[in-house]
Amino acid sequence: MESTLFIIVGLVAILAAAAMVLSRNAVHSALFLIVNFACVAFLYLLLDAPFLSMIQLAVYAGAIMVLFLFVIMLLGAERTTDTTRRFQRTMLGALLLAAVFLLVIGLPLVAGQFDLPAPKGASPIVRVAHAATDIGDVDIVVDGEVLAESVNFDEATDFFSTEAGAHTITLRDHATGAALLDVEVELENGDVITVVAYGTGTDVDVALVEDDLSTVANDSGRLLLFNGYSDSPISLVDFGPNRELDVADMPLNDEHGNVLVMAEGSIIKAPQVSDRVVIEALPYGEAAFATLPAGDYTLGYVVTNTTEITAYPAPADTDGSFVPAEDTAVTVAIPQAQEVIRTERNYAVDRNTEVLLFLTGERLADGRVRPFPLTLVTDATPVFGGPEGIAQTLYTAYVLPIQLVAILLLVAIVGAIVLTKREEGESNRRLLGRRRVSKPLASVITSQTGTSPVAESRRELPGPETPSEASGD
Amino acid sequence: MEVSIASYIMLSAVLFILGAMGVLLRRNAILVFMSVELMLNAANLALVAFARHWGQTDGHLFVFFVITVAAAEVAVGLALIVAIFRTKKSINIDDLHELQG
Repeated sequence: MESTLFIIVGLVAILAAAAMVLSRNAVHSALFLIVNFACVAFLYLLLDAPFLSMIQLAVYAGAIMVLFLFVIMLLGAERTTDTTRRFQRTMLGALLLAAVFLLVIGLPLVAGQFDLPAPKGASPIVRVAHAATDIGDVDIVVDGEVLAESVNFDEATDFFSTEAGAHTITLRDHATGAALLDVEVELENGDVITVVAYGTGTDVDVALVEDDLSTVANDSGRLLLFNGYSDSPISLVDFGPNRELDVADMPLNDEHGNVLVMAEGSIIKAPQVSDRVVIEALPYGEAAFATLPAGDYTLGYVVTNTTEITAYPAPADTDGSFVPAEDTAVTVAIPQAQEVIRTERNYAVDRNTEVLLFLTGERLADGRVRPFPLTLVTDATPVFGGPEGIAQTLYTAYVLPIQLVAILLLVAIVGAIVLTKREEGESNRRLLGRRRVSKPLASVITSQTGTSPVAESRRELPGPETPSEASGD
Repeated sequence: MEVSIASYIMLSAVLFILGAMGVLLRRNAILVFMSVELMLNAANLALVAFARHWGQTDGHLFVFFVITVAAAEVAVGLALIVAIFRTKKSINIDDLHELQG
């Protein structure tokens, strides 16, 4: 499909360009050039450059070609009179040049010798988040070089870009300098990875969460939830905007002392059927994406608690008494009622952002652990070739060139004014010449009304009765 | 099926050559000028094709600058052509060879 379009549009572009060069009428040439520009604008669309495509149509096919047509009409130069005596001589040289140029460029392309290295893609970018409850401040070391010092719990480093390949990320205790954890990461070009340390106590684990920073379609934002808190699967539920929820008076704990339901802003009430499950049953140590329309939400983290009980099947040769045999014990998980362990009220989902939520445990002063979401908000990267992406590069890396171009445009304006200003004396003469032509009309008016319209309107000029002075020759 | 970058470069080269032929063969100053625009456009096409190949926006920015400079060039160039036409009553470049050696 794409190659068919390319062949058709490319052929039209070449034909239009040839017709433009060969056309005898300058206006036809200009119109053929507009066709060519429109074809090139279409090719820009095929090449993922929608912004340039529009610029091409508006500036080139629109503004510049209108200027050309205007000047052709102004000078009355529609009929081009090419002198033929030099034509033959130049024709031969030009054709030779064209043939050589086409050979030099085209032969390697046709013969497949045009070995461009495969596109490299963007370098991988990585960030490290600290969501482990009990290990304190850490230093983050990448390949032996300290990337960030003293990263607190619930903090994360910025994205850093690195080379593709294997890297070692080490978490070091900031106080003692002892290495807590080593991670081997294998990175490929284009990867966007968040390395997250999670877990309670000394039982710290590391997960690689793959971010998706591509532009989100329509007016929505992307949520990425990582479960680093509960062994039971966690669901993220949308309770609808500003919904009032029943609040527990006291935090509720499980048998290890971990907080299951927080006192403030939490609910015991089971979710209703109408509540929308955004992310369903996310196991411990895993991440999942969801896309939400922009707006305010009341989100709740819901745990589907499963109680594990140890069951003992009765021995086959029973005489009525039940003797649990240790070697036949099986563990059975029984799902219990859902509990909301934390809610976020008026949670704003913004357009074109990726929100990474690590649900992890925060150690309270009394030693219990309560659910705590670590939130990392990242703007989505703009679409390739879109106006946003171009503007971003333009205003960061290309500020000096754009200023130079602005100065050039200013010089062009001044230059165009100077070029036309020099002709003012001549154009005055032309104006007077035209007045002289319309003198019979002026004299008719003078003879009928008794006053001269020319003498009244332009007193500094001689009246119609002395036209020879006005011509100024 | 994706079109290879070589096809785009080939098309760009053909358009460039057609523009160059126009510059060399036509005697009308306005047509020579339009052929120069065609050559700029062919170069732009190559830049955009390479930008897509490498996945980097820089090529697009260069095209953006080329279009801006072309607009300035057209404004000044056409003003020059109009000024020359007023004095010489011709825009045939064979009539304007005052610098001929």
